[in-house]
Amino acid sequence: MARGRSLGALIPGRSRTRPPRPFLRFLARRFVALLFLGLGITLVAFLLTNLAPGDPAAANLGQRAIEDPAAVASFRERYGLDKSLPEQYGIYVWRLAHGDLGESQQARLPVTEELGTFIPATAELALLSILIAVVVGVGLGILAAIRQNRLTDHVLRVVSLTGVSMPTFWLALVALYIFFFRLNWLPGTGRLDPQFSEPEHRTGFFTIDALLQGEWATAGDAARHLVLPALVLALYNIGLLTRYTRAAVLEVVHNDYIRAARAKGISERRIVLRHVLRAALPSVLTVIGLAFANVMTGAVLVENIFAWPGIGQYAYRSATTLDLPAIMGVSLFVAVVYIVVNFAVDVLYGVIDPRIRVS
Amino acid sequence: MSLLEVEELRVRIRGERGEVTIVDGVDYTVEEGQVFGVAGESGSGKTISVLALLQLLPRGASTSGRAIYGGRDLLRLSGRALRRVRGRELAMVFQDPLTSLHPMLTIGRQLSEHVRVHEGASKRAALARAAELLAEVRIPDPERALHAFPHQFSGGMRQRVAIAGALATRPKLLIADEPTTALDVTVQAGILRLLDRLRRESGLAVILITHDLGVMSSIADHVSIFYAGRIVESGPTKELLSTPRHPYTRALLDALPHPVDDGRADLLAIPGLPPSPRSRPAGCAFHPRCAYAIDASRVQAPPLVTVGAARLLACHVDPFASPS
Repeated sequence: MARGRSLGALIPGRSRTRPPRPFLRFLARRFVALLFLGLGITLVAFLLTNLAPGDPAAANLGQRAIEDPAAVASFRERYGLDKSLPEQYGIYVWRLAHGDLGESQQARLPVTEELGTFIPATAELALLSILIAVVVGVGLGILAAIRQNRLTDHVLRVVSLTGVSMPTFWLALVALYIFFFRLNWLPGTGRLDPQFSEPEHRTGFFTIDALLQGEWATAGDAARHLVLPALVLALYNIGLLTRYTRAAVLEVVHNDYIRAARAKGISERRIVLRHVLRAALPSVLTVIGLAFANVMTGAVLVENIFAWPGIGQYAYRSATTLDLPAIMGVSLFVAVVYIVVNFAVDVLYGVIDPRIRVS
Repeated sequence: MSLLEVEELRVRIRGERGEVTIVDGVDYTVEEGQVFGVAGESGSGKTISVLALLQLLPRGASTSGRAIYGGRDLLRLSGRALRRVRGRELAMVFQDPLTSLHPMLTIGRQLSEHVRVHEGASKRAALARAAELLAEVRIPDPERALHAFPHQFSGGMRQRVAIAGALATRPKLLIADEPTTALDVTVQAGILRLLDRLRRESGLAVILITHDLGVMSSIADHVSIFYAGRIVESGPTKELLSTPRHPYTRALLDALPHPVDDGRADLLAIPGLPPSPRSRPAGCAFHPRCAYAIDASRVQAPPLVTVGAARLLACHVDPFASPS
């Protein structure tokens, strides 16, 4: 027994001598790892885009220009395609370090500028979709777990399985057909109806920008446009979160400390929300991190079907025209999202579970 | 009137291979301030029989019989009435202190939450009480411990924290399921002294489950020996342990190593294994392992009958009856 040791030595961050704070060190280590990861990703993205078969000049120049060797050569020179690959990569990283992602071959605009207009549209859609998925998915998962092996559980199992096995593009088309074309309850495409003008950009989220400027009708229309694509994008994640939350909750409820809480006369509702969910949260958090990845992938299809002017559409257009700087820009953005989400998940693990903070 | 009267308690659990009877008709009473010991091998139904009192049995279990506490039958309480009894009147300490505290909630939270729920105490008042309790169970620097998490304590300290949590609402009856089994001997002694002190100072009654007869003899007033879901013998601790009447009790005592004996006497292991609840033998469940079994033992289960002052025995043979 630790009679001789003072308890203070056992509590992180509270002892008098203050050894290096474990949690800060944990953050710093993760951060350094992130930088290397980022560099690695630029290399992989660069190689993949450049080794892909296809000639950017052929894809971007008109029929006439391709037959003119001078035009092709000037195109190659303009985008640095005449240099060796390592040279090209070096130039790319150097420019990247200065916040320059190059110029897109299609629009002849800086890629950063294009990303700046497309990212907020995707962010608005993706964040709403994840919010819906988390609230609904975690809620249904808890419900399925506490009604284990009863009718509710069986019904939810079918629902979540349907959610994860339905192809997104098909869902999007069906949703459009029913709610827009047949019932006309919701608008079909775009972010706003033509009679509304875009709200002045502050966050780039139309709903929030319109609200900030007191344009209620615009905000309402923007919100209505969000509903279908956000739900379609959320469905897969709802299914995923329902299944994983159910499993995580069931793993926790059989623990002694839950029975101990029950033995103390704490209400069932409180036990589920405060005790069970707390312990299940790390597993749920992992899946929420995955949900971000799914939304980034799903956005390509959903944005194209709903004519949503976001990163997904931009990625699709750039890929089909072999617009290398744009493709690299999108890859980098997606990579940054993954990295940031993973970092956030790691940090939150530490916040949720005190045991991780010390080890 | 006794604090708790358990009559004809039966617990059946529905499993994949049909229903099995875990506790098969148990009667006992617990008085105020009494330490009531329950002993027996693993699988004899000790734990299940007390979990039934607080309706903490796993899903698929069904209970019959009565457990009268304060004029009410614990087995038939539900909803708010059940929650009021749980934690407030009857508290429970579980066997493994490493798993019975929530790993992600602070000690302070785990010691105060139910106090606030039951007594409507303010957060500050409940935490102050929690700190007092931690001091009472001899946790050093209680104020600081309130902000700590379970993994920062050793097993023995965690068990004392769990006991502090159980006692926070000042219950009248504490059910302690093997509270010292997972701990080393010095820690064990500290916890037993603590329980003994609380019993003397505040009239706390304790149902103490243990398979360790040494622990039993040091603290229990009364002992009931469980075998295969039934009580086979019960009586005042000293008397029962010095003059056991049931062959099973006797065998349990013979299986104990003697601390001053230098190993010359062989330890007598009980032949055979305790029966699984799925296939309990007919008649006296102990008869296949018993050297004294007679024909009647194989046919009919012996009833638990009074054999002298405060002593009960369930044996057809009673081979160790004192000549009188």
